[in-house]
Amino acid sequence: MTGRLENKVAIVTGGASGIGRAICQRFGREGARVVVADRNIAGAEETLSLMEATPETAATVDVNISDAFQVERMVNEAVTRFGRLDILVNGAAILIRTPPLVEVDEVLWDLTMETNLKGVFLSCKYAIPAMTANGGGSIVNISSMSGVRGVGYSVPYAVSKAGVIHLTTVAASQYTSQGVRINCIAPGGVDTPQMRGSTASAEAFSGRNDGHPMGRVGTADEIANIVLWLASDEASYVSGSTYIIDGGAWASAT
Amino acid sequence: MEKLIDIANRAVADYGFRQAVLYGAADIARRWELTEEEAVLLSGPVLAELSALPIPVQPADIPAEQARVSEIIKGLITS
Repeated sequence: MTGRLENKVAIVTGGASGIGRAICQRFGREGARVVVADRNIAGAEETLSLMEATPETAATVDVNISDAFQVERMVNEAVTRFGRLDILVNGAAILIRTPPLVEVDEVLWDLTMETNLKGVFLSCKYAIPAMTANGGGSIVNISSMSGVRGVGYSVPYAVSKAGVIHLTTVAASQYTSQGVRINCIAPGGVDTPQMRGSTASAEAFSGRNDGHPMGRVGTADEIANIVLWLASDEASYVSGSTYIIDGGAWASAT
Repeated sequence: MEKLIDIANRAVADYGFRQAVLYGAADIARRWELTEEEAVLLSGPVLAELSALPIPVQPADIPAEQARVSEIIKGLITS
């Protein structure tokens, strides 16, 4: 089935790699016009190339999502270029490993919070009015299992991702009645450059599959599948929800 | 110089932090309160070294890579 996002306009932050890139590609195949937003503009351009996009179907925006001016400009560029905004996927985030809480540097806390949590706040803040101007839309926030469980390898990352889940709930309570559905996903381990980059070697990465109930971590395409569903009109009665996407890992944890 | 070396060492050891430096060097320089000279070095030669690190896996020998980049920085600092 294709065309599930026909005539929709989407912004995907963090679209230069990993899950964000997979979402851009999937959205493009489903007929959406896509704004690939990222600070990594070379990566965003590469995503555009992989999408086999034309200027009529996709564009890149260089954006620091922790900067209100740049986020407002991102939304304005999407609306100016494609005429409307229907979908926002908040995928941009950073994961910096930290020691236990007492030893965490304040600067790393601020850097992570401003990107992972303030960035989602700002993107919603400027996207929601653009959506309500056309009768509504759909926002999908990408959290993490780190925001659900007390995963300790990065204190600010885990807390920021928990914040994204609650921001989703609060925002949905305020804007669902205005036609904006706001949902969240919390992926577990996914094969992305970020996850591979946090692993000592390709062999060690393969070891991460051991003990997983499915015998492997997820793929970015598998995450894109549920984001597509949430973004589409097929999820018309879904708002304020958070979906754990971890291949049964949490359910199987002892 | 110590702050710049600290940033470089963190970026060598942590892929996520490295991404933050590669795509937001000016922001990192501001947050770490680098001098103007340090900020120029970060966005120039230090960034070039970080860009050359293996992706997407970690460097095979992180301490050796940190020492190498630190020596480059020490050689570039004039004050």
